[in-house]
Amino acid sequence: MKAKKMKSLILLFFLGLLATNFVSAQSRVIKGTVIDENKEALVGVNVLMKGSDIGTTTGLTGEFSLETTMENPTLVFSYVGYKTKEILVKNELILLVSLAPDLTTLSEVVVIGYGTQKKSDLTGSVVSLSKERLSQLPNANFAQALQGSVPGLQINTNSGGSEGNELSILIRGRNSINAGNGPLIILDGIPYVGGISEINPADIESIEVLKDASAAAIYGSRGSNGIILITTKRGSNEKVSITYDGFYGIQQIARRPDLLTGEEFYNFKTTRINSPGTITQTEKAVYESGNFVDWYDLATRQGSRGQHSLSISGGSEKASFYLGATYLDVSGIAVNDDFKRYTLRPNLDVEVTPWLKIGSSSQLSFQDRTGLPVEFSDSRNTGGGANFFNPLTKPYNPDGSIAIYAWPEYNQARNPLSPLLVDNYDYGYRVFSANYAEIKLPLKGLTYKFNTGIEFEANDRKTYYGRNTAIGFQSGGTAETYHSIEKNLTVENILNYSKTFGSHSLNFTGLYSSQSNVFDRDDLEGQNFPSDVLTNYQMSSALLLQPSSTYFKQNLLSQMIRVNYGFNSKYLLTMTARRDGFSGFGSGTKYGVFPSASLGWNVHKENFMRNLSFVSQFKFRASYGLNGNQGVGSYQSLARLSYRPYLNGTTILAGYLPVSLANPDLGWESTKSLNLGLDFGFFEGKIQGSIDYYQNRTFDLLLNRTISPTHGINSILQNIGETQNNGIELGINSTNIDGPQLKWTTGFNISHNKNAIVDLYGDGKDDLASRWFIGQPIRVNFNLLYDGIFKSQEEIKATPWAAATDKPGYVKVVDVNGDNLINAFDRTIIGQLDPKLIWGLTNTFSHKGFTLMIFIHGQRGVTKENPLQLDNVFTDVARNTINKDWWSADKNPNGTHFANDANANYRGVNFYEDASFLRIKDISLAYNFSNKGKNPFGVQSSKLYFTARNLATFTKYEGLDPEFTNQYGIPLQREWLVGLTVGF
Amino acid sequence: MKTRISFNITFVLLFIFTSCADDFLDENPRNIIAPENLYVNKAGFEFGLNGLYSRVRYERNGANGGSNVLNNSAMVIGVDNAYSMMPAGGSIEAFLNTWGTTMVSTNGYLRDTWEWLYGVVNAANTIIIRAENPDVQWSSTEKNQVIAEAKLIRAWAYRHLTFLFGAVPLNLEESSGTNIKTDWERTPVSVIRTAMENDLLFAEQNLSDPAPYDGRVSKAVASHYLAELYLTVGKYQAAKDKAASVVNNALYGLTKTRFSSQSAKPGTPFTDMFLDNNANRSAGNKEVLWVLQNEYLSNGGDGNIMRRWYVNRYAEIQIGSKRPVTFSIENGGRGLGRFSVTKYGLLIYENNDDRGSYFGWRKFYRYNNSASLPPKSNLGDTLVLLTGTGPAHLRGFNAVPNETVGNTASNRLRPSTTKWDYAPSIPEDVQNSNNYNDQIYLRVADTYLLLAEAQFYLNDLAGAAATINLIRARANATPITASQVTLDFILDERSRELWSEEHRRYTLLRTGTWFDRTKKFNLIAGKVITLRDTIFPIPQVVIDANLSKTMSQNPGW
Repeated sequence: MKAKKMKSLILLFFLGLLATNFVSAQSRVIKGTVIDENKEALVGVNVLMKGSDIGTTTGLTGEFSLETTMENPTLVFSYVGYKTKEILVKNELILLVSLAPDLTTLSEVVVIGYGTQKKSDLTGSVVSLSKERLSQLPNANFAQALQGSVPGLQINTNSGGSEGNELSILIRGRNSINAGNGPLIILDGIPYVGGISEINPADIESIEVLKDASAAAIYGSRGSNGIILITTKRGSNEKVSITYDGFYGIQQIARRPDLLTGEEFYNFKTTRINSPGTITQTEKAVYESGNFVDWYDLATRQGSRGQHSLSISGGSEKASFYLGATYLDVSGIAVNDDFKRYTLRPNLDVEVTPWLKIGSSSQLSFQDRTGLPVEFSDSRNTGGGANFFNPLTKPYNPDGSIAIYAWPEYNQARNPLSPLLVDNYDYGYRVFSANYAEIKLPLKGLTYKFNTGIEFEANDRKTYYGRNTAIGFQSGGTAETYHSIEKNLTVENILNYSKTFGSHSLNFTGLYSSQSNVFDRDDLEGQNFPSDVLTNYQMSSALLLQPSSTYFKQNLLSQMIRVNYGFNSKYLLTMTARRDGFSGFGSGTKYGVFPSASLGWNVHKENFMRNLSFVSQFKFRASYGLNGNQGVGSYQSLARLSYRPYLNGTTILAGYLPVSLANPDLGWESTKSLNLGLDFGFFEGKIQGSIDYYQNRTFDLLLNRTISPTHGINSILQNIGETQNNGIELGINSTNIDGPQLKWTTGFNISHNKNAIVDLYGDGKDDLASRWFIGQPIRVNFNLLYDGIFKSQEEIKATPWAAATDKPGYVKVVDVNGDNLINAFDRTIIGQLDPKLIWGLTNTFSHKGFTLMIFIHGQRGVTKENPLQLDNVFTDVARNTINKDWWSADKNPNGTHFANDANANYRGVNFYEDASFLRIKDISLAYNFSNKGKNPFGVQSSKLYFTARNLATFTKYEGLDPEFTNQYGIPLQREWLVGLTVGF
Repeated sequence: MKTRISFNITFVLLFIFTSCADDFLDENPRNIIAPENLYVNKAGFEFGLNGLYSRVRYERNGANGGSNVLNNSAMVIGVDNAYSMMPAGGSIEAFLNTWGTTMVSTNGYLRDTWEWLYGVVNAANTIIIRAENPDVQWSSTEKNQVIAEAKLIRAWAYRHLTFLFGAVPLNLEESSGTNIKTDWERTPVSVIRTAMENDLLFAEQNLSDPAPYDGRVSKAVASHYLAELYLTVGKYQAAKDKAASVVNNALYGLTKTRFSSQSAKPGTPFTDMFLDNNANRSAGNKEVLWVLQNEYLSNGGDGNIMRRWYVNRYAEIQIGSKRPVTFSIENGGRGLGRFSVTKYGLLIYENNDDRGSYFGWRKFYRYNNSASLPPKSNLGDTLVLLTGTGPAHLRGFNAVPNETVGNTASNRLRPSTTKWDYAPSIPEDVQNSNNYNDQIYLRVADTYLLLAEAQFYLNDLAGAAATINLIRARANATPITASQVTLDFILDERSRELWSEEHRRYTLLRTGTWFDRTKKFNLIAGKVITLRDTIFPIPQVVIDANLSKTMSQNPGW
């Protein structure tokens, strides 16, 4: 829209001069041209005569003309993204006004996929993550920067651990029941399939989140769960600069479960009713010696996280580069939970000729996950792992080595520390390279871009369990060798055409692309070796070898057309259509077409808004469209046989049995979504934000429909069922104080989502087995409802449903259907697992060189099971539990927790708690040194910072952590980090 | 220059647009076996048969390959001679004790059983139908051998289905994703049995005798099941003929002498058959008709949970505060005592019957846990279960209490069968959950008793007595006279001979005695069963998924 060059401006200037001859003396016409910092014309600038209602907007060449009788009028020039300018006009008839960009407001160009767009021209719901948010905090991965900062984006940390990879990302709620719900991640224009932790956050320049159908439609087939666009840093055509950033910090356990000590456990075990409770000899000996084991202590440590990153960027007129190298080293709070990452990023852009530009951005990374962490989790160890291991046991042999069985009488449970003895290495190698060539075609405004992306990851893992571990002891040594390769190739042809004619502006983008993804895995497990000496390198002498392999390939073929039309920058229209073909679908239904349309209206550019000078932006957006979710892997539409071998003597005979039916009609899961948005900015952008309302309806869900098992097969993957998400989102950024001494800015966002299953299998029936209920959110708790405990025999007598087995101290439940009988029909929905409300609040204060940032994040409307409330100790009290206020008729008649009796909760009631929380996620204090004076090292800028993470959490939830899905695992870590950034 | 560039670009674009041919989206999986690429030659059909055998073997596995819920539970307990002693809470074995409202059509075990058996039916149908494909290059003998085995196993599946659920849909087609049926109909049992008869007759005609190698079925297996089928439908002469053809077949015979490496140790010919490595015909066991193959430390080895279910929890026997008996190979490995024999089943042996001897039933343990010996005792001391009076080999039996259920101390002292003993010889693996030994599935003694039953129905009591006496003679039991032959006696004899081997529920249903005998002899389930419980309910999912046609439930459910 600022297409004309300087030449035409000068011509216009002379034309303007000529025109003045015809103006009368009393009322004069003030004419002029408005240009930007690059001396290009600005179209649609509001020009207002201060103190009057006379005003106009600039035309296509940036020109304006105003008639006035005022002697010395003041003209106010305002334009979104630029600083408002006031000019006192004395005698001049012709003005050349230059507006300076206002970097703090909406001038930014945002990445929208297959191109960029000025934020003011957006019609869809696109949120850019502020640069401060990316640079201010030493994040381990980009998802940590996104958490709580984008309305409608829910990031859940599912468990603790050094890598921080156990998280899930949901944009605008959960659409799909069976298929994936994670957004599509696009890295430098290329779909990225790797792990979140494998992108180096230090290299990221910007992140955009595309939320509505219109914005995501360009990735149509995979857009229904939203898109995250990540752009890495590039060089600029300036002199070379070098930046070093390094931080180091410690990690501590944020919350430790209150486990029973050896003494308490002994009492618990010996007083437990209805359980054999025999104290074994080991337990007895440990109890008598008083050398109780604090397994939690043995399994955890003070962790650390350190990173060094060095980047060099620069360029000449024709070429620019960015080179970043980073080393990250994390020692998690669980012993032996280590993660190291080495990355190198060379990015390059070269203007080969005036019509050809080529560029490359790559990431080479090496992930080292060597070492098996101690066993924490419940499921991996029947003794309960380090969490619940019996404290009356012996972790070490008399010689100090780690015992095979810490509790010899119960050798079903292995020593949780035994992973420390396991020989393991675990390496991941990843290459991600996006390369383009952009050609300006002879027709003005027409460019062709050839874009390719290649992603390659190899994972290499060897593990040996020797006879000094329980696994190796029982099997005579177990060796596991794992090797996988993943390849992802994208080829894109993008044609772009931009033209402005009159007040109209038009942009056309066309795409033809293909993507291919291959995964190939080989796995070999060997058991029973002559000795442990040769570890993994003796597979040939194993008595039992179990190889396994996986292979899949999926291809995607796409065509897309996008048209952006703007009239005077006031009325904006975007129309997109994408057609995708996916190899995994049935032969007749591989292709899906996903159209969308959206409108934008920059109300603040209308004449009637001219007087409301405090409004710097007011824009309505509306979009409606269809997106898809391929959501399933390869070969799901084909009939398959599974491997069921048989034997002849010792010879294995391959055997196969039909296990799935072909579905040649399998096709796209689709989401229709409506988005209504309002962007606003007041007081020259001091307050700005947006409100969005959306309605997503997902249909043709990829669901396993239950069929009569008389077919010999129980279900078939079909497109059935429907879900719905409605929500509202608000994001506000404000500059509260902007003084010379103190600057205070606030960023706040909040979103509410209502999720519901509309239909499942077309018969209006709930799926009890899967806990899916029509009209309810996809993920709900469903169980008997706890109702306190019986405190007396009289209370039991007065309870009609009570059975002969019920006793004082036993769990009471709610007889939901009131039939005086407690059974499966009394199970009821107990809250939802995805939050109804998520929010984030960031306050930043700057004073002289100091910047203080406080970030708080919260969720509301979540109910989670708290498994720690149960005494999951097994009949013979083989495991520890956490301290509780156990009811007892004589010793503790006011106890709140059910009795220490193996049968007290015989109906298997679970405990559900409100898992809403407010977390002080980050507090960061930075000091920017003044580098005005000369210094011998040529330091241009330097910053010292201190960050505390996960400082405090406020919640009613009493499990390990309200955000986690696994309440038995490695706990959340609190971090204290100090870092330094120096630029040369 | 410019035209050249645009020409080049047009060329590039054209190339890219056209090179992505339609087959880019076709799937050619390298790692997936589909019916189209498997059933193309003899080897492919053999792979299909192996899949079927693997699913027959599944009968003695835990549900879904786990180590809980024995798949044949409903076939063998909840009857006159067996019950669940230490059931897992909420499991099928618990409900086979309690019946009533605990046994419901939504029970997961019933659903799994239906899915498993119809999975076998569909797999067999696929083989039988696709074998007719004229493109397959094979001789008619090879083809008929494959079809015969598939048909025998299909009949095997319908035998289970009809005894468990009564009239079930007769499905003889290969299922297809484009033809999902929502209007299944229940086929009368008589019609299904006719189909089974046809399948078995075809199998009998086309199978070899003996089977080509251990683990596969022979002509005799088809004849055996035909005999049973004819008994079930009241064709006693046909039953007698079929059973006699097996009994008189010189290839098979009762094991009357000690055999194999263990024959030097104390034992009996009867119990020798169940010892490790003795199950197969290739090991010299001529009595077996069908042996399920397993293998320790082998990818095709599978492993079942028979020992886990039948061996008692001897390691929990407490003397004072001590537990002097611990897991060992001679104690049979580690068991959970889920299933046990009823008092009736335990007391029907006479003193000199090998089958009731301490070789067949574990009646004592020797102290073997040096870490937990009671005061004044030594390793090797004998712990006699339930001391009492009577002949040495039966000591304690008179004192066996009535059936107990749950976590009581006394049921840990209940004798358990030795038929399913097994433990890997690696000391640290002795607690392993699974059996990996080859196990007898069908043996000719069963056919003898079918013959006797047919003779009884044909009023040939002398013949029946003679047949039964062959069985009894092998076990050192006293011969009987023709006047002693009754249906009850035959059923008692079957229990003595085949306890935990035969599908006792089917035997009782065949003879119309399940309700009365279970009521009389099973002190747990007998109190609660009703006539409704004669057949199980059709799994609810089968009724629910039949969207376009109502499928009736069995009466009373």
